[in-house]
Amino acid sequence: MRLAYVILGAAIGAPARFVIDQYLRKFANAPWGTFAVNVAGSFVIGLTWGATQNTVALVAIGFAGAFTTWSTFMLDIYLAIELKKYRSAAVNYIGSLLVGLLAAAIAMNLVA
Amino acid sequence: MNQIVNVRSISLVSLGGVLGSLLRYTIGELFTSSRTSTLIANLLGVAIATFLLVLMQRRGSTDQRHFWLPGFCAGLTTFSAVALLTLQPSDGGTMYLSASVIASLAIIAIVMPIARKVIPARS
Repeated sequence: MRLAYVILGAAIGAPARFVIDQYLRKFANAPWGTFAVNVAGSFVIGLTWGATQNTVALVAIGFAGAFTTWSTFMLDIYLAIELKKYRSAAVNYIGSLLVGLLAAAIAMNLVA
Repeated sequence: MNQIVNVRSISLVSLGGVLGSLLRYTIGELFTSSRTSTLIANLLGVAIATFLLVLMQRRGSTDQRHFWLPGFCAGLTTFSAVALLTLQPSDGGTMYLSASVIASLAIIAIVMPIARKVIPARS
């Protein structure tokens, strides 16, 4: 049953990330799409703090897990460094982690 | 809807995302520590994504790229779990976050040149 929840959550999270990312790409070259989904997804996973197993499977592992991405985040930073865009890399790195952690912390406090 | 985001690409991203997430879930079932399993899923995903990024740029179709990169690899890896596991009230959160970042960038730095060498650009 948990497997079905993971599948359902991921089937919503992955395409939602893709659509948001493609939409935001129209306005800027900077990886705002990845930033937005990672921050929003961190807030969502924070809300599952202490939740039941099925909610964790659906919302945390399935939805937030597929909605957010680590591989794109890390590759964006690496490629920016390679292009000597050190400022962009630093802003993306510090901004994503700072705001992402803050979003998760706020959500965890809301449900605590 | 524009041509970039169509039903076909969204379906491929969904399919890849579900399969990647299932692999991440399976890895999670194999380890008692969520930190360990999430780190493994993320590092594995970063390695695969680095190789596939080069492969798709040089050989892949748009469909294949959508399935593998924003689909499978982004589904396999997760930012939100790293945030939660960093904040969870047990020791070593900062260390965990640092290890995730440093190991990921090291893997990209190793895999990227290899991929660029073994996958020749189309002339």
